Amino acid sequence: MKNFVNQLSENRKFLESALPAEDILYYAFSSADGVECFLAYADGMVNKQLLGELAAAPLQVTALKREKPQEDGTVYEVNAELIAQTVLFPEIKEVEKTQDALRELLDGNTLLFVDGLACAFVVGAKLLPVRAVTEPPTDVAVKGPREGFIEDVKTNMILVRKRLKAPELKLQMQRVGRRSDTMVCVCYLEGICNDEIRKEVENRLKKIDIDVIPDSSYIATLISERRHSIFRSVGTTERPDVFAAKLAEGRVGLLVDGSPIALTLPFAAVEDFQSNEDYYVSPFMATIFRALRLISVLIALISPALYVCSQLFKIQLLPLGLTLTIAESTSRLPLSPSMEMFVVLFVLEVLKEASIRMPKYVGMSLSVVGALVLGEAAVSAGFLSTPTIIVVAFSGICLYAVPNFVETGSILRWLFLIVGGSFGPFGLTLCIGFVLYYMLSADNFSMPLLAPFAPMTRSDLKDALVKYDIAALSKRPTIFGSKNRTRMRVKK
Amino acid sequence: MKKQAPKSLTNKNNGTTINARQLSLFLAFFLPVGKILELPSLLARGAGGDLLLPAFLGSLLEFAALCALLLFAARSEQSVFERLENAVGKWAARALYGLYAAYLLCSSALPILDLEKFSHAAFSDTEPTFFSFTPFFILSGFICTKAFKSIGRCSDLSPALFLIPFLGLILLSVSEADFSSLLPLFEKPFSSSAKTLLHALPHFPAGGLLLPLMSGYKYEKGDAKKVLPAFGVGSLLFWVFLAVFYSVYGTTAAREHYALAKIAQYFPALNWIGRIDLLLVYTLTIQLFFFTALPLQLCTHCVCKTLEKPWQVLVSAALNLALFFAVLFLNRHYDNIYEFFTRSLWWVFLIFSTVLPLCAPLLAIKKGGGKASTKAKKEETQCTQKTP
Amino acid sequence: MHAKNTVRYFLVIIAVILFSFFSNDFNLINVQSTAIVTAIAIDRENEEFSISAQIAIPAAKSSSGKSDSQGQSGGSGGGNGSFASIEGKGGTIAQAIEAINGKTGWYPKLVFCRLLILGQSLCESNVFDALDYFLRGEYVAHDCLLAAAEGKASEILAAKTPLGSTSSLAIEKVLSDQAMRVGASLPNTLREFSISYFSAAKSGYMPIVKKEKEGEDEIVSASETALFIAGKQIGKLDKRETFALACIKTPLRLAGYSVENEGASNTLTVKNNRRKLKFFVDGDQPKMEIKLTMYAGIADVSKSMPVEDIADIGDLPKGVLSVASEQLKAQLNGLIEKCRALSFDAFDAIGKLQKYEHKHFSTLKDSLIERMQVSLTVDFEGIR
Repeated sequence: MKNFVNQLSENRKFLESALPAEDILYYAFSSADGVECFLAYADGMVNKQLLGELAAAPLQVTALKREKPQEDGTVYEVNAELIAQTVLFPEIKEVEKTQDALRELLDGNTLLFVDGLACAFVVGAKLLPVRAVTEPPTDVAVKGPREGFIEDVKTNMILVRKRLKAPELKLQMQRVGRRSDTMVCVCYLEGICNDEIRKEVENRLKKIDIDVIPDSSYIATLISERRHSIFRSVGTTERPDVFAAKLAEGRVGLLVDGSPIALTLPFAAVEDFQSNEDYYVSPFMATIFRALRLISVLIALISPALYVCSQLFKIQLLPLGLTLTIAESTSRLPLSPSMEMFVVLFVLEVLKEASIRMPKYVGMSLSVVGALVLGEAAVSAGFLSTPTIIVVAFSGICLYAVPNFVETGSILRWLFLIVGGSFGPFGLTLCIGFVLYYMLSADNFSMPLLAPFAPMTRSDLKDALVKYDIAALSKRPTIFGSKNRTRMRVKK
Repeated sequence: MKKQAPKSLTNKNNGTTINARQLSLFLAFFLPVGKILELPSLLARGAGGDLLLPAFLGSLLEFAALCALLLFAARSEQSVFERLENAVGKWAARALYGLYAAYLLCSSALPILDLEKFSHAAFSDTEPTFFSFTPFFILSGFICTKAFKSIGRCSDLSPALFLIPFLGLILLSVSEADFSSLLPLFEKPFSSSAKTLLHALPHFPAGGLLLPLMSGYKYEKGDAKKVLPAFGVGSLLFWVFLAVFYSVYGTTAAREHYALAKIAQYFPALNWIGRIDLLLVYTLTIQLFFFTALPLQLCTHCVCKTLEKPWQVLVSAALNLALFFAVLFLNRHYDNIYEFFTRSLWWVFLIFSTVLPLCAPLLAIKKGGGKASTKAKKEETQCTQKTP
Repeated sequence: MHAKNTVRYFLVIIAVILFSFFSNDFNLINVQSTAIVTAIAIDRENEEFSISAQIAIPAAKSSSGKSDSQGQSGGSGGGNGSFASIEGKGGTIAQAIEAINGKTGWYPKLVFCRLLILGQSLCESNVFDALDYFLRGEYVAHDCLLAAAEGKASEILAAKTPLGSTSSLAIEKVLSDQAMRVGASLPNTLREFSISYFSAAKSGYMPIVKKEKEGEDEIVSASETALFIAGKQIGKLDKRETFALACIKTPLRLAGYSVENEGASNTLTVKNNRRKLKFFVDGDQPKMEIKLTMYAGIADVSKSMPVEDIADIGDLPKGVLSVASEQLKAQLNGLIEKCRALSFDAFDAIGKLQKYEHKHFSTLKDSLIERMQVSLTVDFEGIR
């Protein structure tokens, strides 16, 4: 049925047939004047003590019927307003549609039914199991706040609200997923965010037609223009301070229920090389760190391929002494330099994957296996050479200087190795040119991936790879097309 | 689901695909990269120590073409092709597109051949097979499918891809340069320099590239003050390269093909730390790839306009495949092809790179109709103001 | 649909690239199959070129991780493997190098070739008969050192030096920048020699490498300089003349110079030198003014000196100053006269005539060396 009816028993029958699960519980009781009521809730999702004390108990001592004089005599009906006054919950609302009520119940709210009323009262007595707000494991900072988003979207909204106490902060809820009915909160600062982008985001969210949204990455993929690109087109963060700062720059943010990873868009590739800590240290240090990250990524991506190229194609790249040392190390190996590098990179990827998946108990022994057996023993046995292991290990470490770029970087490293090993430095340079051209022609939400470098926006270069002093960043980035660009006023 | 992208956030171009800044960077840092490969040894062969003179004359021809095209753009809201279509007819514009498509396709053969030989010298210690060069056509095919805005963005990246490694190479080579090798000035007769310039015309392609490229450009007041000096900067960088190259190699400069890879190799520290100058060369080569693919990209655009079909992918594939087979055959006859292009076909390059762009202003009408209409507009404004 | 096709195209391309990677044969020459040539000695025997190439052989690491050195007719490398000498003959240099390829199965790579030694027989004809090969090659280093040998170049390369290092490394040491700065030799590279060969003067020079026996050891020295015109050796400069030429041509640092004064031998340390060469044509008379200032301090005296004199090393006694100036001036005059007799353009006068006095070039170029008046000013200044 679409709407609830006056008969309590019918309403209960409906609920029992719609949600025939053992964790959906019903608590029946009567009011002081004998009006039958029941509470319907999902076990484990509500605060039963509060329900009992603030909902059931007050109703049990209250007479709910009121006189309604009519022509053929006085009729007694249930006083709906009295119920809202009696139930001591700040969040209480009426719903008449069954689908809305079911959604509320499955969300963790409690439904209160009263015999004689064709509606349900939604009582906000949620007590969902959530973890504590802790430092995010994927986004560690030496300086700065230690809070991170969690899986509960409401908590995340609070964390954002705490940092942006502005009336312009809008948090609009949408539901995505036919069966998961996942709440997605679209966050933006009105007057600062570009309305076109926001509307586009909302439209794209509405167009998503999928069963389940287990994580925010699904949302990121489904709203992207380039789903098959190895470069991501949506920014991610687990930190509320970063999220708030990005909203203040003019971006749109998405908080997805069930995922601690918040999304921000539009996204530019340079964001991967920026860290929230850059804004908490001096601008000189920030610039150095950013340069270091960029150099690390370049080393990580190119060094394995370049090493192979220097042995197979252009030995002049290395000085003679180093060439002879490397040749010395590789003289009795059964594999060619490119195959050897391929094998060692493969081992690194396997070790990386295994270290994420393995139980903590075997972590130590597997580290020993990885380091000693695969490293030392393989070299001693003449399967692999030391320079290759050094190059791959250093490349692996360098890539983690930019954690957000690891996935893309790993793929690119493989690509460069395979192309470099096949076509030499020429192929490697071509591949880099290809990737670069792809990046500069890729847009998402009309935001170029290589902004603010291509197309060049001079004012935004102050906070790209070089970080200027905070006083120089008084204007919001031009690339977002924000209506209100003034971020800071410097009083003279 | 087909996603509609919102209007461009960063499009300050007001609907155009390349703005004045990008055009300036194109002229300053994108165009010179094609001139520092084979052209220095070509000029040294013909003009010896006077190689700066034909270089200057060539730059002058390009400058003239640029001025003519800027003047046209200042006078006309439309591109040359649109203007021709309005003035003569659609078929004239399509014919011009077709002509330029043919010219751009043929003129791209020589740079690709040069690039192939260069790749053997700079990227390898031996002579690799032609197959190792074929991935270039994949990159070129990809580039050809992209719109003009990517050329503009490429220009935005050119300070990083060109200027920094270029300055690095110059710094590494200056210590080994003897600038007195350029003396005496004007040792060779002017006819020798003029002849050298004619033979080097394929390497001064600016006019032929700008004419189709500037169909996506809208002139705004003050643009000439940015664009023309930028061209001057690009030319200056080229001349500096020539001067340093000849100063390093002196009388043996004519034998040193692919100057880009050779200029900085004598820096003393390279013996101990390896050829790090090659890393700078490789970075410059990325820009060189984009530059070499540019005529093909413009050719694709012209072919699509000629056929009036949006078949970028198909046309790009066809053009690159055709060039692949052409280069596969031609690379065995490199010297003959080079001589044919430089000695027999120089007039073709002169026509498309210089003569046709110089004719462009003849098609343009002044914006607003000229002085007469401007005066009429002023009088109208005064009348309006007087009326209560 | 478009995205699906794009993914398919990329998958095909990746498959092709993977195939090419694993098949891995594009005429690649692995560093293990490469003969890294570090030095070449070239002799001419009748119409044939005989080359002796010194090849670096990386020592293979044994299972214990230690290097196994191996050598054939060469020394140990003192760290990075060892070196071997392989000979080849042919009508051209290219043929001779191919002969090495045929003998060893290794592909010779000349990108690390740092030294070319030219035998006496080659120097007496045109050295560019051989050097052209290196100039043509795209894969040859043009900044390699050139040296002439007295006798056979291959014998020089085969010398066993007491330093324990390979002969080519020992020779490179005596031809190093350091040796140049102390005036012990006048090294020259292939590039510079070629530029001078193709210039108007056609005059070039390179050091002469000699083997000298000291007891059981053989040492190499490069204190003499061979003079070339149009690629042919026309004479040589001895040690003193080489030093004199070095004073004009190169910046000196800590070069030693001995003079006799008041019965004692004074060794001066030349810390710096300032050279000014001015060429001009006065009417019809070509003139060159050479001004040389040597900044030197006393390093040692053969007699004991009072403590004040030892402490004050910057203040050269006037006697020493004048003797040193006169001595060096005499050396330079001797050098100039020798070059004049050989028609050798030691100071690139013809080049300067072409660059700065071009209007006189056609009339004076053939007789410039004979007619040129050289005025010489040599000063020594004390410096701490």
